[in-house]
Amino acid sequence: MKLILDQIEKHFGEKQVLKGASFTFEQGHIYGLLGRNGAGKTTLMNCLSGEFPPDGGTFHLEAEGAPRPLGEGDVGYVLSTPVVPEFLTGWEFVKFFLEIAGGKDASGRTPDDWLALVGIDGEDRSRLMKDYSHGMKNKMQMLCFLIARPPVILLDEPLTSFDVVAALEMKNLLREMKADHIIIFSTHILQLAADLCDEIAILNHGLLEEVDPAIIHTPAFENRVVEILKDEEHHD
Amino acid sequence: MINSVKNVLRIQAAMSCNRFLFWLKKLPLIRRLFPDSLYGAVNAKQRLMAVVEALKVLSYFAGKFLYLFLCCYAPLVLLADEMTPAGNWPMFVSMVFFMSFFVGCFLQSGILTASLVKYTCVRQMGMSARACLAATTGRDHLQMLITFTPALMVFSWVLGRGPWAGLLLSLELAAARAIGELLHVLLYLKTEKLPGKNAWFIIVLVMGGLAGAYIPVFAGAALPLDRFLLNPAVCIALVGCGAWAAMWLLRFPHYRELVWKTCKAENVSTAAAKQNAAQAAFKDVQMKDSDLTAEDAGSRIRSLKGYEYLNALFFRRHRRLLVKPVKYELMGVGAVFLAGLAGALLAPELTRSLVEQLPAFLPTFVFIMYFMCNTLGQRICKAMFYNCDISFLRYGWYRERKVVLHNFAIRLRRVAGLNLLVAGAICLALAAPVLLTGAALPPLELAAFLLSILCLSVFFTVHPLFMYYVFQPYTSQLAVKNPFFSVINWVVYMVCVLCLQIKQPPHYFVLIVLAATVVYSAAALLVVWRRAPKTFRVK
Repeated sequence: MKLILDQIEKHFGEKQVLKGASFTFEQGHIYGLLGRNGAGKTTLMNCLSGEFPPDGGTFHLEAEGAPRPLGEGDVGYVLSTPVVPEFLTGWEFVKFFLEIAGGKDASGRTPDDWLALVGIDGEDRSRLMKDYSHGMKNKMQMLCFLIARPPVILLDEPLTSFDVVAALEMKNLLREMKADHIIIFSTHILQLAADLCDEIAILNHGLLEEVDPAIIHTPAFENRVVEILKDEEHHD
Repeated sequence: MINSVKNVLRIQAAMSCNRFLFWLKKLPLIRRLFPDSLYGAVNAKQRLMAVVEALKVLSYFAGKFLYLFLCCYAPLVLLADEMTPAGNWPMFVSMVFFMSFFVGCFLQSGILTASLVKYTCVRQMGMSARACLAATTGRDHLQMLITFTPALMVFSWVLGRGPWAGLLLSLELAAARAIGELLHVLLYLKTEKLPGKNAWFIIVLVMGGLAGAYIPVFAGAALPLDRFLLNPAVCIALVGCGAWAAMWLLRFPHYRELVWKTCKAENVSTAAAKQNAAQAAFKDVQMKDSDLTAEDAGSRIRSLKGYEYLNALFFRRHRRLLVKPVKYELMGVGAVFLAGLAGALLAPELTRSLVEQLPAFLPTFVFIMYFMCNTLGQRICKAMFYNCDISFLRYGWYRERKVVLHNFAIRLRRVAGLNLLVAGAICLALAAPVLLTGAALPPLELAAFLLSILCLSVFFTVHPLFMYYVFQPYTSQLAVKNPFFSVINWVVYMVCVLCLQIKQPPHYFVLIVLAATVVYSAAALLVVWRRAPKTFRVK
């Protein structure tokens, strides 16, 4: 399975944020999406998740050579500022989500099992989510894609709000899941990108470009990324 | 000091200019003429700044003429018996005195009022507070003197007192404003209180000012304030005190502390303040801790599944907001029912003649049903957005067509249930005295009347939900961003208010109500079915 982006454009007023970004993301890989502040990483993710349509270009899924449009239910999106319905408890949210995800979860886990999996224990499960911390809300969002297993998973700055233990658990979960999914996550932390990602896509001047995967785990990686991001004339 | 004042004036001009550009860019036809790059174009902006400042000064001059004409001169022409200059000059002065001297001086202090310019210059840029106040409040007062003077001179001339009386009044007004500023500052230094923030103070002051200004016009006799204010001794004393107050204010050394204390981020028009204001608009649907007792879901709710479960929890935890008003409405209807019973038993003749008129009250019931059902529907939609959909709509699966429509159907059923309960109770309360007194109301007419009440309750259930799903107007920052939403709501409200004006409805009015409610509800549901999956998004 592939997620193919073809010439995606998006502008806000006169500001052209995406200027024809093209890329092919493949199943079984974790992609790190890097870019400077304001480069358009969140905009790209919002387009892919259907928050708003792009102004130009297309994107679609391709499974076994047959293309199909990316539906609303095909994307799991974890926002950098997590939003969860605050009038529900964590347990109620998971029960509800398990029911509407209807059959996508073949694990047979109960709401309690799922909450235990992401480390939400005891009394926290029956507390309303309005009283949850940033990190706990983030975990609840992650549970949605763990349960529903959508083909494409987008994570916008996902691990920064987690403590070290939770972050490690999440990283392991993502690694376990990656075989069946296309996982794209944006981050500013190069260390995290190098540690977790199989591929790096850089969003610069509204375009996407790939960093040679061979250098991701070498000392040259940081220099190469900074070099691309600093190169003001690169695409102009 | 002079350089600092110039800098503040420049910042103020740039802010006005940017605001002006921002609004120009909102105008449909000409917005293309003003590209974003204009914000940064130094030379073009200098020219635009000059134009904006000139327009502002012109508008101040025009504003003073307009104010004196509409608030002081026009009432004289319209209300006073005879328009003789000699009789009207005292009334004119009395109006100016109560509104501009009295209310104007005490309503607010320029020095102590928070503003974005002060916040930016003093708190963020660390500029001199005295220079900033000179460039803002000082300039406002000077501007007021300069722009009020020609207007007052013209009106005093029109009213037969020659232009110089107007000039004197203007000087006295400026002096009074300076004294007002001084009193505000002294009060704040002593008590740290800002009277202008107290709603009761404002109400009493404004009502007192308006009463002082307009009662003499109705009564036909004004206090001799013209003779008082134009008495040379009063003139000299007032202007002298004003000058002293202005000097005191110019020399006051502690403006920095004053600005830091009175000018805080939440009081000025920053993004944070806008967010606070937007939050405040949803205050009526915010949940309290007492609503959110998590453990009370109950086994009946827990046995539900999926969206039924979600909505059951939503309505359960919003019962204070949603069910309580219905309870009060039912209590009110119950009281009407008992009154009808008592009337039927104790004064059957009177009650009979009253209830025989029932169909004539259908237009009133249009408004009553609007008031009861539409208000409830709107509140529910607001609560749905603020407490539920604003977060769920960020999930792709929640925006899927079948989910949007399924959720809509559940919500429609629940809200219709509440509204039909009230409508049913109303029907019962109205039908009981009709049946008990044997009123001469043809059964078909009674049935059509009661049916229209039920239809109205369905209509006012469908309407707010339709508006919410098709025009979903709220942004993630909680602003309302869909003009159609406000306009259509306003039109429906106006139609209901206009119905109140119908005293003798024609006999086919009931048919109009039945047809309109049924056709509108059906059309609205069709539009929701076709459009909502595309329009039901966070803006």
